[in-house]
Amino acid sequence: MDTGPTKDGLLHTSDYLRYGRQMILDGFGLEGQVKLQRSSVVVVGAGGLGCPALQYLAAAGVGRIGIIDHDKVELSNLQRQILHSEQTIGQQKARSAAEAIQRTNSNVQVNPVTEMLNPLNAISLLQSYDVILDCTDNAPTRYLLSDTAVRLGKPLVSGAAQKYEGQLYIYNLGKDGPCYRCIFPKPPASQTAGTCEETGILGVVTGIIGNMQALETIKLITGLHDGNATLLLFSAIGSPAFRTIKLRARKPTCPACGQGEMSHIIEETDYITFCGGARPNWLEQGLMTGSPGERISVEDLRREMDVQEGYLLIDVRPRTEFGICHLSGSKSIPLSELLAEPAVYLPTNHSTKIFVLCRLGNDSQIAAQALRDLDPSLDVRDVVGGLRAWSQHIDPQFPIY
Amino acid sequence: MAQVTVLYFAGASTATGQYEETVTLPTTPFPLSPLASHLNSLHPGTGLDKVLTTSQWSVDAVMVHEPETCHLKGGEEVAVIPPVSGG
Repeated sequence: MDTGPTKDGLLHTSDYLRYGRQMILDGFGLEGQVKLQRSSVVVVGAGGLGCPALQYLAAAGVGRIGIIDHDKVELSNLQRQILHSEQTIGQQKARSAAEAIQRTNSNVQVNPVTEMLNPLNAISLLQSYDVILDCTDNAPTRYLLSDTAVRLGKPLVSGAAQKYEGQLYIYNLGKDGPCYRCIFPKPPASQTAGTCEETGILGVVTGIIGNMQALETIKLITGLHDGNATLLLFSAIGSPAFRTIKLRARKPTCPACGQGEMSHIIEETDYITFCGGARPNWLEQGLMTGSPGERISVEDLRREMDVQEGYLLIDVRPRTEFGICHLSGSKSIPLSELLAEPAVYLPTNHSTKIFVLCRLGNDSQIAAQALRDLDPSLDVRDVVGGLRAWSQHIDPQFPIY
Repeated sequence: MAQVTVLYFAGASTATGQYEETVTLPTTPFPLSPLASHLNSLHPGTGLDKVLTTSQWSVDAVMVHEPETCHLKGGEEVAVIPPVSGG
């Protein structure tokens, strides 16, 4: 039972029991716990990285935690975003995560923010915190967070993950730690070609990186961090699984943190344009009708499949995705293989109708065009909306992923 | 011939289909800057060239800021580190 603060007023008596297992560590002690209690941390992104980070920061007793996320919880998040649950689908992620960590530790002051972080509100939303965690999923916000951390003079504990791999950096560390722009002055190339492929992620990989973000944050607050700026690379199926890369000092020529730093870089940067423009909505693009005779609806495809014997139905998704689910009678030819040598895949009978299919109806357009380019007299059509549309309009039992 | 071990991370490993590769240096010492075009020539048509334009190099576990001044003698471990933005 909590009998109130102890005589020195540093912690409540129940805190000694709650945090005792970490307080008895050499180098941590009462002092470490008091530092955590008096600290404040803001986590930007309550997703795959943010959830595990928040879980451990709250459990460890960080005094005040901000959570910034404008998204809502979806079923496809639950595989990795472990603070959300079936019961909170449809709720704001910031609120769902806030409630979850309050259940673990009601002493933590939690401030959920459901606004989208942008150049106009970044300074005011982040300035009251000691440490900033970048748990976001896009390049524009990563640059904005880095520039803001530099402006505010705060360390930025940045995690990133895709497929089986993760990266962990602390930017703007101490007097001469580099910022995100020092390391990656050029943003990753935006995808200009149509794509239905999403980058996969194994949930526990974001868990490992998010937990390490919490760990590095706790080390920074309690003084356990050695102050050296490093990059940690994690590969779940590589050997060794963890590699540490030493980072060089801040770049004197860096526009954000260098000697001639632009004092208005946040106000003067259009972060979306800098990172190659807005992400296309591939679901909508896949549904566009296109030129007459080039595309076919799922309803018409169904009719063709029912009556036509001499057709070729090509599925251009990667083989692994074909293995998850496919239409019976379809042939797997991944887009990259088809584009490398389209002539190989043409049917021997020139009059055979060719239908091309993918997940959302974007990659199939590229593949169909490549076949048409070989011989414009071929009857090649690709399926509007892809397998997603097939599931919605023809066969609701066909899985959407 | 002098060789280096090249480690491919994130998009670079997706493009090349491998995590690690032993690469023979065309000359020694070999400057780090043209290593990108050498690796592209080993993996034509994979999209590696696009990944390399925004990636960074580390040599023996130290991030390289100025590839122009870095020369490989052989025996080094060179990592291709693309920016990852997912989370």
